[in-house]
Amino acid sequence: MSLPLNRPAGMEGLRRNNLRAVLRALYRGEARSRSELALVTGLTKPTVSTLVGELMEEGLVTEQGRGEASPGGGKRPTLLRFETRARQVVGVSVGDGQARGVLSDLAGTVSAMHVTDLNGDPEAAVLEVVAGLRAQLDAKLASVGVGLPGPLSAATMADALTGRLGLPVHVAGRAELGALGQLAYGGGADGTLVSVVVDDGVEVGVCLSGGTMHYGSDLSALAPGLEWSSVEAEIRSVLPDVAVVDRPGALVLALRSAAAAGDLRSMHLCAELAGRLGAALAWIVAILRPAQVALGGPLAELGSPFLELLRSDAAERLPAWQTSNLELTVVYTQQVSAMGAVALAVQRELELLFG
Amino acid sequence: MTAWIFTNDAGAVFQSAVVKGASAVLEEAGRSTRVVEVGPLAAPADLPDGLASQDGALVVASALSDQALAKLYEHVGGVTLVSHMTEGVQVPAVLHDNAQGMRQLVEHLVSEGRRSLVYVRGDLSQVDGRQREAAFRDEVLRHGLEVSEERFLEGGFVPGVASGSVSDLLRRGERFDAVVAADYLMAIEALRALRTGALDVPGDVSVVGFGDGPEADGAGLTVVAADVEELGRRAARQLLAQLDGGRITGHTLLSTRLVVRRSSGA
Repeated sequence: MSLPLNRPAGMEGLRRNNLRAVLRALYRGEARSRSELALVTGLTKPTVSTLVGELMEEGLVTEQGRGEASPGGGKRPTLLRFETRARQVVGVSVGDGQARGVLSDLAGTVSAMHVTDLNGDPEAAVLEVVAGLRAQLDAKLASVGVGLPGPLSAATMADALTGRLGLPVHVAGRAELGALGQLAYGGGADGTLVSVVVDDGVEVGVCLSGGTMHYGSDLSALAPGLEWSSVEAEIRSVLPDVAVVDRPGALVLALRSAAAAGDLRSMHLCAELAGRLGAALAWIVAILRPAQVALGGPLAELGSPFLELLRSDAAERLPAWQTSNLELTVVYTQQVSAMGAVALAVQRELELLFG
Repeated sequence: MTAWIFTNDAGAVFQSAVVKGASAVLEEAGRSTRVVEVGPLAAPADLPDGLASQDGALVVASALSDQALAKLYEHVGGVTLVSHMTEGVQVPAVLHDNAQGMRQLVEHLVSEGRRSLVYVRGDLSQVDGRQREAAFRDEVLRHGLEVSEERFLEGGFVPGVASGSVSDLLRRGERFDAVVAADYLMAIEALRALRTGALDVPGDVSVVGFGDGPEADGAGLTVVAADVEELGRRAARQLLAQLDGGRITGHTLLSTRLVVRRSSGA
């Protein structure tokens, strides 16, 4: 790995921070030339020139012709551009019986996705996904981000994967990465973003302060009766004639469809599920005052009618001022949290996105 | 060190584009390529003589049966399926993201206020045909649309069949406001049949199709672009990774992109 940004701290620490500051200013369009970089970062012009030279050698920065001279006259500055395609990152989300990874450039543009079955071994599945995407690289792979379902230990997995891949690997909860993905690439609203994944339990991810702070937790104990095995049994008892389906979401879509068609038992079950989730959701809303709550996991397939049930449930539990501006949305967890893993990998390696 | 490319119809639009993209990458990597026409669903006995253990193979769509695939996978140094997946044999594959593409098409139509959809089927013996229809049915449920079984028309990825099915539908006097076709060549014929039936596209009916090509651009057809030569190139890369000693499992999905043209968005 020759990316100079990854050298260890210590003697190299200051230089690495300066490199990151220069790169970030170019990435965000805060500076477009060496003299603007000196102004924005507070570094001297010779230092900036040296750093830009290193970044150009790495292919991360290129020169793009000349800009306008300043009003006082003088030389027209050489314009610099951040090359978002000079590095790629892999973001992987584990869950739903699969590991699903995306290969992205530094701007979040995805060129390929790779999906493999978990077969009970998440670590092996992540390695398989990375192997599948390494075959499709168009640039050097900078780092890997991984989102795991609640109970899996992130730190252990990060160490093991870093060793196996010879690359920096960053791991976090998939609900947490869902919130981060919404913020970075999903058009998530300004303010606190919360992602709630209902699958084997209820995972919650929170993204605060424009992405500089994010964390995940598990709310299963506060919202019982939502683990997939029992929800599946309930749906099957309401809809005994639905054929065996290959994924949980398809069964939930059948429930949505039956409820929309006026099947009373299906409608009742939807309301019942909204009530169970609503109890936990009310606490989230009251304490965190989120701008947006994104629902993921199989139950997200219940779609906007279910969000309306959740909204009225919340309105019964909380005063109007706490719920009136709340945006509820549904997301495809595997995709959003894979993009969150991309955001995590980009941020940890290059500190480009947040802060 | 030969890379074999198995296809059931080397001259067809889709297959020839895959072969073109794949051959370019394989030859650049110093592999000689041999295109073999077999199948569809050829038996193990139909595999050619001369397959060596260090060779690799790309299998395009449903050229080989599961039994032949299993034998091939065991025999050579790497196999990649292109737009095909098997239940029985775990062979890695490269496909377009059919679910994403169909989602983009239906979301586009719904955002244009279309609610009464007709679907023109692909060939259900092929993975692309099955996945696109399953994805369409999911989208219908997600958007709370109603599409009765009579609105699922036969097309079989054959433009002439699609055209006939749409004409039959018009003769039955059915009313609808959008047609989604499982590929763009069928969509172009559907569009012509609608106009022959004196319907205004996109005024009365929007027409969209899966995949893109110069014909779609010429006809002003809204599509999700799914570059087939790129599919061939990506498949060749997956094969090369195996031949270089890597173990690949699972499947790689290539993203699709909505391209809005004159056939929708009135």
